[in-house]
Amino acid sequence: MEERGWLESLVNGLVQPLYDAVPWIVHLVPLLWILVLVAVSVLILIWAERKVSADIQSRVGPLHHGPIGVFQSVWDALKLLTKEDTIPRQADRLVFCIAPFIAFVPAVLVYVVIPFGKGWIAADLNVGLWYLLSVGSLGVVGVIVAGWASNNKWSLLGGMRAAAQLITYEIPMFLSVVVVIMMAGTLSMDDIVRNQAGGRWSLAPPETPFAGWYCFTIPGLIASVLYLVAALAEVNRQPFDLPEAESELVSGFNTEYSGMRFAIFFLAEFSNTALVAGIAATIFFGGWSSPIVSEGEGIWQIFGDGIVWYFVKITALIYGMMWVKWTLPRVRIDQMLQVAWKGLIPLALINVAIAVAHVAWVGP
Amino acid sequence: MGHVPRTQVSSNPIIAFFQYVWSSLITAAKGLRVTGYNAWLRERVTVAYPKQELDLSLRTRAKHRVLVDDTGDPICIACGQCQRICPDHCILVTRKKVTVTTPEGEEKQVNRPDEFVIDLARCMYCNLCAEVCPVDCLHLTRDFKYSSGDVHTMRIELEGLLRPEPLSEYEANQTDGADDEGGEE
Amino acid sequence: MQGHAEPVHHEEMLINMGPQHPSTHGVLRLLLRLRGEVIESARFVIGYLHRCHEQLTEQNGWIRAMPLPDRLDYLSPITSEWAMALAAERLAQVEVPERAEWLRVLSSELYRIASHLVFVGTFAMDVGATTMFLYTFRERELLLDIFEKLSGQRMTCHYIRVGGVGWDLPSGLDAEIRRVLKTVESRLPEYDDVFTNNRVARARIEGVGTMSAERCRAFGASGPVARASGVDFDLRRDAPYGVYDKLDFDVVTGERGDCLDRLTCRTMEIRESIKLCRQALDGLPEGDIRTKLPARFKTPEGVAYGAVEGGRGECGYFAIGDGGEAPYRLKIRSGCFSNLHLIEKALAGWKLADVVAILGSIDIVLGDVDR
Ligand code: SF4
Ligand code: SF4
Repeated sequence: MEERGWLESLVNGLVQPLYDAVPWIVHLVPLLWILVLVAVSVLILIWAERKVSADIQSRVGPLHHGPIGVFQSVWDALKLLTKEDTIPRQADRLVFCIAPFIAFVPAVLVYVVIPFGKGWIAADLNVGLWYLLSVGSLGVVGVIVAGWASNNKWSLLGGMRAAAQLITYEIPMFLSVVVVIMMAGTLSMDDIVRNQAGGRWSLAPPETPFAGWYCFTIPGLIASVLYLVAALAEVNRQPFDLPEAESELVSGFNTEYSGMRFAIFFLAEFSNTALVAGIAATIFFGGWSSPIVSEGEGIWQIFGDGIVWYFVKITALIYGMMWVKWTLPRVRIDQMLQVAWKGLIPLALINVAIAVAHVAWVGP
Repeated sequence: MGHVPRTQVSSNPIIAFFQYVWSSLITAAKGLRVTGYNAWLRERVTVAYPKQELDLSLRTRAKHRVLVDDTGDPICIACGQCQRICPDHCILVTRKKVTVTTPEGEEKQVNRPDEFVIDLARCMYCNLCAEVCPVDCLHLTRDFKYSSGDVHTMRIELEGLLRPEPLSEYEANQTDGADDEGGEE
Repeated sequence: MQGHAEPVHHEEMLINMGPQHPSTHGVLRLLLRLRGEVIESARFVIGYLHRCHEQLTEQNGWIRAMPLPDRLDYLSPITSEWAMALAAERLAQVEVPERAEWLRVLSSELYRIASHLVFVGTFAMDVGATTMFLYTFRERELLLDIFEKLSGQRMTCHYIRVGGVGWDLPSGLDAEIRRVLKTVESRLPEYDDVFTNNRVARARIEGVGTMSAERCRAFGASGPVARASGVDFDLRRDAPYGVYDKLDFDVVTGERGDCLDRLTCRTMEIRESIKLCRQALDGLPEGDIRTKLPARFKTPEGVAYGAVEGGRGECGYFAIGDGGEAPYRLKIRSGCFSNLHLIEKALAGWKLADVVAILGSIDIVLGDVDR
């Protein structure tokens, strides 16, 4: 009791005046939560990537730091922090230094509109999806300028590839998201999740809690596949990891980066990975809604809607992306463009037409 | 020859397009099946080395070993053949005369190594020195844990070569008396 | 900047690939003139790994230089060893015991499998399928374990000697070899599923980097690279050494000479080698494994050429004897060296990403190229 009172007075004494002086400080709380979430999830993702690749390749993977090596990436991050920070002599210093942050900031900002659970959304913008796609695509600028500023031919090639790839694959990505917007009739991420509560024609058996998910409508199904393929390209993962094609371009746009700046690129990349999986989970797979029971009673409550399901879905999607990454070879640059322009974009356009028919017929 | 069949696509571009889409999905799924099988059902092959160790074959060629007789003296007769044949010039043997008492009680003058040094940093473990030795006294054993940060410590003197463990294949066969037991422990 | 006297145009970029590049398979340096991502012309620079191998043999003598061929083509060491032993034996007219010949066939075919497995893995990795690399290395590991039990060393075996082989087959290894062969055989369809038949991989390797049979002949290419282009030539069949004339196997040839052919040629050769290994195990006669050579093995005056079908083409040792313990002159013909010369022409017009695929499909070992 004593202690509690002490703590309370501390909080009252510190936080209250702070809040009185700068009331907007409450807005920092979700931002802080997002930053922590991104940092932690990236560390876990890096570890998971190494474990999954090890599984697939008959290896063991990280083993020594923490149980089954979970703290490996923490140590790696510490190592990167302590590394010498080299800047090539001929590099454009200013641009070289800020490029990782140009790539990183949008990757974090977009989390603002992600609904993690019921009401767990930092800002429920009414143009959420639109904000997400437009801010998310800013990250490519960082990659391009990083490739250019390094003054290294391999980096330059990587940067150019990134420019071609990321801009190209935004089109099929947008087109498949458009399908969802048409069906949901809203741009707000939270409403998109709420709209997937069933009630329309679905491939899944009716009356199941997941019947309303957009991935169970015909245009939604096609769109989700197209989206995931385009998402692989958006986050530079195999088979579309051309910007950093290790066996061709040494390390692509981040060849010259080391230490913390490299870590920031890494952070941006993995946070993007989690992001595209998060978007897919939100708009196609029902976000935080539960596939078992929506409003459980008693023990079933833990299986009800909520943040857990969101992370379960993201985990499954990311596992799928890693699985694909460690299975497929890499496409060539012209094939990469072909896949987009001759494959995904026509399919996505056809799919938009299907969606129009779907919405007209079944209703949103 | 029975080659892997080449990709066949229709000449109709529309059909070819869907063939490409379909084959991409199907072949990717086949690959995913194999990798998934490996991830979940096949055992891991890596060994966490310092914690786990594999049994090395008896023929593994690593650090040398000089055999000794019952009295603990090396049985090397300092003939210098190993020094002569070593392609990397890493053995140095000098000769000295010593008097030994044979089991029959006679005094005998024999050649023994005065200095016997092997520079393991230069050795390529080719086994030539062991094969050429006329009295079978030099052998390559499985003892591989002698790496060091200082190259000079890799120059091993005679005392360092007398360690009795682990056995070389030759000794293992001698002690087991079973020539056909080689290869496995 | 050898070979690049012409100035670089405005839209062109001269790029140095290697010697420190992850996929030049060692210390090969490629000078690429790029227009965007397209290769205008390519030059290669070699010699970073030259170790005076011929001179070492001329100074050390036959016996003391016998461990050295392992260091040439370190992915298929047994074949280089055999070529050198063959040259010495032909020069000095040494008889090799029957059992030793069979063991030589067995060991060299086992290592051919291992070598081709490395090829499949590294080639797949060049094209981007990292997992294949680990898979083939996992299977290669089994073969290397056999060599550890057979010769005591995994890669630098020093197994084949002038006049025979160094060690006899230990008991129990026979069964293990059969078991490993079966494992490798059962994994080959998996490789096809993961890599060879994959649509993405096909797009990367099918029709890429074609080389005609004429060009292969003109450059003196040999081994799987030439056979993939349709040059039906295999020393094991056309100039039999060892006991290959008593064994039954097919020579695999390709039709178009593209990367896919070069890949499938190797995977088919793995199957042929498995067949050969089984035959060698079945037919292994009893007897000596090594002819006793005089303490100072000397080769008489004369010339001899010992050539074997290595993992990467014809591996030949041409020796001139002068009556001493060492050859007066030794010339090593390595398959990689001749094959490598194909790439300059083969690369032009392809994309940067194809460079690694084509280079990988030729499967060079810089230790063998530079000697
Ligand atoms: S193993 Fe070979 S290199 Fe090493 S000391 Fe013996 S002869 Fe010399
Ligand atoms: S060959 Fe044998 S006996 Fe002769 S010096 Fe060397 S170790 Fe001693």
